[in-house]
Amino acid sequence: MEAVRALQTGFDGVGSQATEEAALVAELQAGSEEAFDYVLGAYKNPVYSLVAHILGNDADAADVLQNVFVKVFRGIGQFHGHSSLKTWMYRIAVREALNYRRGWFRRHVHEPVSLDEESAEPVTALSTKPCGESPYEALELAERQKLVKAALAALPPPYRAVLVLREIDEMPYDEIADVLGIAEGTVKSRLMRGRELLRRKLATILGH
Amino acid sequence: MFESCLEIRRQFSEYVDLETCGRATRLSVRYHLQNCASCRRELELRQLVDSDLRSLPRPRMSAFADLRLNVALSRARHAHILASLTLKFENAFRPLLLPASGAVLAGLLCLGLTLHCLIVPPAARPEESLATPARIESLIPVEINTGDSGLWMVTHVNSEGRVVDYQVVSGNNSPAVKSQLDRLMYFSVFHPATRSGRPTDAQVVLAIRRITVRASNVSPHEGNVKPVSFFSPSSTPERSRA
Repeated sequence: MEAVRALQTGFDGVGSQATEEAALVAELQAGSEEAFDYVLGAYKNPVYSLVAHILGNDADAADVLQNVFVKVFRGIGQFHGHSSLKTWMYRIAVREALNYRRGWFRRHVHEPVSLDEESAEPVTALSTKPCGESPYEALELAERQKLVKAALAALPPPYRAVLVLREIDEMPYDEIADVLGIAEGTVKSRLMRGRELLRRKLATILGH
Repeated sequence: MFESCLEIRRQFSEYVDLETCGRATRLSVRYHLQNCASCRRELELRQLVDSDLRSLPRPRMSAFADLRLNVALSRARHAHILASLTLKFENAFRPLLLPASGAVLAGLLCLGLTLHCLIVPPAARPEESLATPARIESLIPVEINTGDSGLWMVTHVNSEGRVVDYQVVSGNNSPAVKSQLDRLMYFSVFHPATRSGRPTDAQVVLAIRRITVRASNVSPHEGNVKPVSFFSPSSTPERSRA
């Protein structure tokens, strides 16, 4: 439990962070429920956000998130610390998200839509508007975000995953390469191609 | 330093990231942008798209999704293979437990009854174990010449120990011998056969060989008259063979 307490109170530095993470992993591998609860609390929202952006669907994201954390729980024994715990979990999450919609049925079946979340989105955007922003500007921003989200969801999955990891999760190139299991050069080229595709789609929609 | 717009635009992705962009690339892009309004506009659009991406709201889990996640994890934490199989087995067979138990008990009962009938030997049957054969109690003094082959006869003894009939099965069956046999059977006394302690009719097979009976109360072992068979519970009067 020492590792969990140390992580909860913060880190002294990079070396200390690595040590504490190793201790946390050791506790996870020993079956500590407290350590797992800590990991769950710390990562469930970032992983959910990542998966939701890759899938473009919050209902599917909830399903995938369950699979991700069940796999993390079951597979923590096989984690050898070659990458950080976050990278390992993100790798599982991206793989699960990309595999989730590969089946014909899932691609062609009607999308489950949460009425609460769909209707809550613009309201959330309006309610969290920065100071001095008019309701009109907030609404315009919300509409623009909706279009960007739709354009992102229309990208091919490999480009979408790289863009989400780079732009939304702000990961460095090497970590993206580690998460996706590809070379850094491939990350660069996919990022360039993804940005270009996204710009074209948005240019078509927004009329730039 | 004099790349085309197409080549410069290919480097925009690296240029906006600044992380992997080398100094030479940065300088060449900057130089081109100073002189190319179209590429400046293109770069601004790309930066706007990146900014739009970064400003996308981070979706947060709903309370229901959180609950589902906790339930799934709880199941995973407590789902050991053996426990899971045991639970599935119990769920599948618990509804059948009572009928199956009844069927097994009924089967065992039937099997027990069948084996009981098959295994118990006839000699151990209570009605036969409680039966005793008829035997000679006293003979009158008589002299019979039976010849060398002896005389075999079946005697019918009633429940009072008296001979009611007899048949000579083999041996000298002359009138003289028959007269002597009539006297012997008429005056001799038998101990009647019993079944469950009660006297009953029975048959006794006697073998007589050249005897001279001079006094009564002669046991069959001391004289030459041997009861060789008796009692069969299946017929009336009783028949038996030993």
